[in-house]
This record gives sequence, structure tokens and C-alpha cells, in this order.
Amino acid sequence: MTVGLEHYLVVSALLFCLGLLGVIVRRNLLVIYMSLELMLNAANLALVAFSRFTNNLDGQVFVFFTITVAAAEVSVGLALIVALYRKRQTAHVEDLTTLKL
Amino acid sequence: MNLSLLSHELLVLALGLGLLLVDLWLPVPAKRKLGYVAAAGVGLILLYSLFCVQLPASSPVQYAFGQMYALDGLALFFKRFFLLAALIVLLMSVEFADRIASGIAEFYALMLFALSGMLFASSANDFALLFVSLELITVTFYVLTSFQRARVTSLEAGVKYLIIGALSTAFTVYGIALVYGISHTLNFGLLSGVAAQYGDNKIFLFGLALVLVGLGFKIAAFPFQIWAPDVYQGAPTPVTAFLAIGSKAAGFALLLRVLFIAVPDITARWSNLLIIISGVSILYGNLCAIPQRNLKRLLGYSSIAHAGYLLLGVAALSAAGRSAVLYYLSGYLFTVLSAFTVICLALRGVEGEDVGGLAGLHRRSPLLAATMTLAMASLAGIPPLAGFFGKFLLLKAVVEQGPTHPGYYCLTFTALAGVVISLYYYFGVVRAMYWPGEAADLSPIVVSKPIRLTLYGCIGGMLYLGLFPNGLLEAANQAVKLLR
Amino acid sequence: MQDALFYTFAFLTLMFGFLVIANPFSRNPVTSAMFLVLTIISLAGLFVLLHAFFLAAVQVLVYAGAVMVLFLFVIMLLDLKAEERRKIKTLGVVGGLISTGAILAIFLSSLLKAPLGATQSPVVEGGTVALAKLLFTQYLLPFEIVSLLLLVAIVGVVLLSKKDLK
Repeated sequence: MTVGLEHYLVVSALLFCLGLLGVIVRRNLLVIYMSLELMLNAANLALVAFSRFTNNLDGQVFVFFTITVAAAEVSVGLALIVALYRKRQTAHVEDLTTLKL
Repeated sequence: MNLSLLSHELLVLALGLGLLLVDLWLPVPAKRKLGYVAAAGVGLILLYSLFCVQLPASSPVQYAFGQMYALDGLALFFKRFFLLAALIVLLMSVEFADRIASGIAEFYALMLFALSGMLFASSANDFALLFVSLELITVTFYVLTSFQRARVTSLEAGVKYLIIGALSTAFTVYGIALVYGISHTLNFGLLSGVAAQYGDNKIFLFGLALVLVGLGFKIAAFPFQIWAPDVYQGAPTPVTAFLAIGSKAAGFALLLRVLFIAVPDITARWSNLLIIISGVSILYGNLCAIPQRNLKRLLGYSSIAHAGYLLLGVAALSAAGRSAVLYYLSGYLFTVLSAFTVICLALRGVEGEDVGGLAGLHRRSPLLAATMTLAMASLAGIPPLAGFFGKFLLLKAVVEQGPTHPGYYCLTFTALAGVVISLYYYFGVVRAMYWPGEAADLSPIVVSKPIRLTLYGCIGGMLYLGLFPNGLLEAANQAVKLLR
Repeated sequence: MQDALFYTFAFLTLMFGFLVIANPFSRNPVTSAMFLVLTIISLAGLFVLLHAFFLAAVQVLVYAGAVMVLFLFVIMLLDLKAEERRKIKTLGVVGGLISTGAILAIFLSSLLKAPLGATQSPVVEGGTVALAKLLFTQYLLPFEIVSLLLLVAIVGVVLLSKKDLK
């Protein structure tokens, strides 16, 4: 059986769920943030695969936007995490207790 | 292509970039006053929008950049809404400026950039524009939320918003990927033509659901509300206010566009889902608000409940329901912004924004106390204020749909129960102000002239919308005419 | 040949992705970051197989190059060694597995049932010229907004990380 759209989508879904699992299970802010990048990458893979198999370039343009937005988001996010670390000496979700949950 | 269609956005961006530049040459003491410049600029743009921008009757929708950007009644309504909200928030920010250690000019500029994101969002007619404008709003709010770097709460709120915001982004992008993959288009106009034929395609529906999850985070509806109380509490007060009204309304603008312009045929089958989310949001927000002592946190929970009320109008799936959403949002604007302005002024020295900090407010500043009382009454839905008539319209729209689906009657009952519950905690706030308990600080609060005008304006807005609803209702009906 | 490459890259992507979130040997965020780099490079391989050449290059340059360097830089800066030995709560793991598994099951079952409308003869090529044409005509507005977003990010990062700003 030749590799088709379904195969790529299964890979992308698995990667998305791996990322989601990481967000839920891991407690280190940086690792959570990396898991979120995994989820975004999974979405990018789905977009590129759809774009290829439906002969339509719009999906690839969209991936261009998500990559740029992710870069901007990561830079702000990491600056924020560093600022928090300077204040609290922690990068751990469970230590974020000043605001009660 | 017609760039004049984007005049609102371009003017706001020019103002924002101008502020960033002017900041370089200004002496430090003068920077705080830049807020008045920004507010005046936004006010002028609002006047320009009200008096110079009109949609020609012959073509109710005008497109720019292909079909990317649509200027229609709905977009224009929301643009004016966002401009008014930003105007009040900027005036509030000037009062707050002394609590921001550094970078006040950037604070104003970032507010304007967030505003431009909202303006773009209100015109989004394509998933690409939806995504980037949503991200512009979100990323700007990451920075704004954590602006008081000296306070741990502000930073923690920023980090929480960051993680949840990035999660919602991932859901949105994946959803867009699936919708695009099945329908081969990102454009709402083209999508509405083909959506009906994919009504049974599970992948398409799954993708659409993921997009709605992303928007659900923005409007803070149950079960995507977990961030709201923490972020509302931790963020600087003007940012909380802008988040409560601007970000939420942007979410609703996009929700209305996706549900009723892009995929109206599919939305019609999702009434059950919308009814459940709306009802649970109302109950959850109101019940969790009861034990809260922190005023901003209380308003955070109440904002979840109000997202539920607003979803009533969406769930009704009728034109009356949609125009009620716009009407309710307008009333909510005056109500919430006046409440946050009072918090910003009255709880200046109170750590933790405890409700008890309001004690004796009627002696310190009768105007602030009166405004807060009216705001709480309007949030609770007491006649003759805007909140009452808005809730009345929403419930009327839901009851009208009752014969088609028994769930609508249950929803009406739930919403009424929520209103009754909310009376308790809203009047707890009012009682805290007038209760003759021991107030630590009875020094009178100085209310500056611009804020005084703002508060009069907000009170006027609440009363006007409650007493003479016809003018705005007519405008709202016009705005939703093109939605299906 | 193409199929073999697909299975190789897909396997590598998922394996490295798994190691990002759950490395049995080390809980140090640095290893997670390194595996994320490898995941991203394997994904770029999949992009090449999908003829998205431009995006494959961007993926390596921007993600593996810029974003991940930023991650590593921050991890080194923060020196998080002391945090490695925290327990992971079993309840969280079980809850996470169940909820994620449910989402995956729903997705895969709907994938089996739904017609995807895929063409058997894909011809689209994600070259630089083709993408640039779309980007600067139809998608010009989002492109410009993204540039604004980058400006906001720059201003925001300066504000958040500068020690004392006037």
C-alpha cells in the first residue's frame, strides 16, 4: 500500500496527542512549552500533507504564518518564564501558588 | 483593492507607532500624559468612524485583499465597540500609570496594538486573518498581563495566560488544518458554499469543534475557563478591564463569523452543544463567584457567567438572539469598565484587592460608590439598567425558540437561577461599600476630571441603554442582518 | 524508496517526540530540548517528502535554528538541575493518558470513516516562487499583521527582560 494522506494524518495526530500528553503530565514550564511546540508542529504537518494531496498551496502559506507566530510566541514566553524565575527561582507549575487555583 | 476600507486599523496603528517614536524624545515625567494623547487619538478615530464611515446601501459587504477582509455591518459595529472600550481603558490606564514602574509609553502602545488586532479580527473573513489577528491580541496580552514585573502575581498571571493561550492556539491551528484539508479552502465565503456537503464528514466536524475550543478559551466559556480567575486577579487593572471586554468581544465577533457566516448549515445542528455550554458556564461562574473575597477574581468568575449569558443568544440560533448578543455586549462594556475604573481608583493602596477595601467608599467618594452600585446592579440585571434589558432580550430570544427544542426551556430556567444566585455576591460588594464597619482609611479619593467624565459617560450609557434601548437595538439588528 | 523514507522519518519523528515528553533516562529539560530539535529535523524530512521544500528549509532554519537555540539558551541561563527530581503524579499521568487517548480514538475512528477527498496524483510543489506569489498577493494582509506581531514581540521581550527601564 502506497503512502497516502491518511498515513501523514495518523502521524500528525499521534504527534499532537504526544504534545497534549506532555502538557498535561509534565510539570516543568519549559518542557510544557516544548510540548506545545510539538502540538503546533503536528498541526503544521497536517496542513502540509493536506496541501500536497489536495493540490492547493494555501495550507503551506498558513504553515508559514504558524511558524512565524510560534517564533514570536516563544520569544515572549521565554522572556516571561525568565522574568518569573528571577523573582521566584522556579520554573515549576506547582510552585505557581500566589494566585490560588 | 481599496485601502480606505482599512482606515480604522491603519489610523490606530499609526497612532501606536507614533507613540512608540515620540516616547524616545519625551522627558520621563511627561510620558504618563501620553495616555491622554492616545485616548484623544482613539476618540477622534471613533468620531471619524461614527460620522464619516458608512456602508453604501447598494453593497452591504465590501471586501479588501481578495476576500480576506470584509467590512460589513457586523464588522463596523464591533470596530466602534472596540474603539469605545479602548478609549475608556486608556483613560483608566493614565490613573494607573504611577503603579507601572517603567515603560508606560510602551504600555499605551501595546494597548493600541491589541486594539488593532481586535479591529482586524472583527473583519476576518478568512481563517488566515482570524488566526493572525487572534494571535496579535493574545501575544500582546501576554506582555500586558505581566507588565507589573515587580509583582509576582502579575508574572504568574502572565505565565498562566501564556500556557493556556498557547494551548488554545495549538487547538485552533489543528482545527483549521482539518477544516481546510476537507473543504480545500480557508475563506469563509467559499467555505459557506461547500460546508453543507461536509455536514456528515467526521473529520470536518472534528476540526470545526477544535476551532470552537480555541475560541472558547478566548471568551472563557466552560470548560475552557480555568485561566480567567487567575489572570483577571493578577493582571494590572486596566489590562484586566481590556481583557474582560475587548478580548471577550473579539472572541464573540469571531464566533459569530465562524458559526453564522462560514458554516451556518452545520451550526444549525449544534444547538444541543451550545445550550449545554451556555448553561454550565452560567452556573459554574455564578456558583464559584460566591466565596470570593478578591474583587478582581470575583469579576473573573462573573465574566465566565456572562460568557454563558452571551452564549444564550448564540445558542438561540436566531437573528433576535444574535442582535441580543451585540446589545448585551454594549451594556456589558459600560458596566464592566465602570466597575474596573472604580477598582483602579478605590483599591489603590489595598493589597489583594479585598472587597473589604471598599468599606466606607460612599464617604470617601460618593461618585465612585454610586458608580460601583450601579455597575453591580447592572451586572446582576436590575431594571432599569442596561444589564436588565440585555438579559431580557437574550432570554426572550431563547424562549422564542422553545417550541423547537425543550432544551431551550431548561436553559431559560438555568439562566434565571444564575441571575438569582448572582444577586447574592453582587450585593455583597454593594454592602461592603455602605456597611458602617471600621474603615481603615477614610481620606477622600481625588477623582481627576477625565475619569469623572468617563464615569458619567458610563453611568449615562448604562441608564440610556436600559431606558431607551431602541436606537442601539436597531443598529444591532442592522449589524446581524447578513448572518444566517 | 519514498515509502521507506516516509516510514523512517515518521518513526523518528514520533520516537523523538516521545522522548521530548518522557525520557526514561533523564528528566533534564536540556535533553528534552535536544530531542525536540531532532523531532523538528525529522519533520523537515517529512516536509521534503511532501514536496514542501521551502517550508522544510524554514523549519530547520527558524525552528531548529532560532527557536531551539533560544530554548537551550534559557535552560542554560536558568540552571534548572535542582528541579529534576520531582515526582510525577500518577493521577495526572492516568488522567492525561485517558483524555489524550480518548481524543486520539475519536480522531482515528473518524479518519477511517470520513472521505478525505485526496487526489491520487499530487502535483503541487511548495517552491519558494509559488509560495511567495501567494504570500504577497492573496495573503498580503496576514503577512503584514505578522510583521506587526513580531514588532510587539520585540517590544514585549525588551520590556520583560530589561533590568531597569525608564
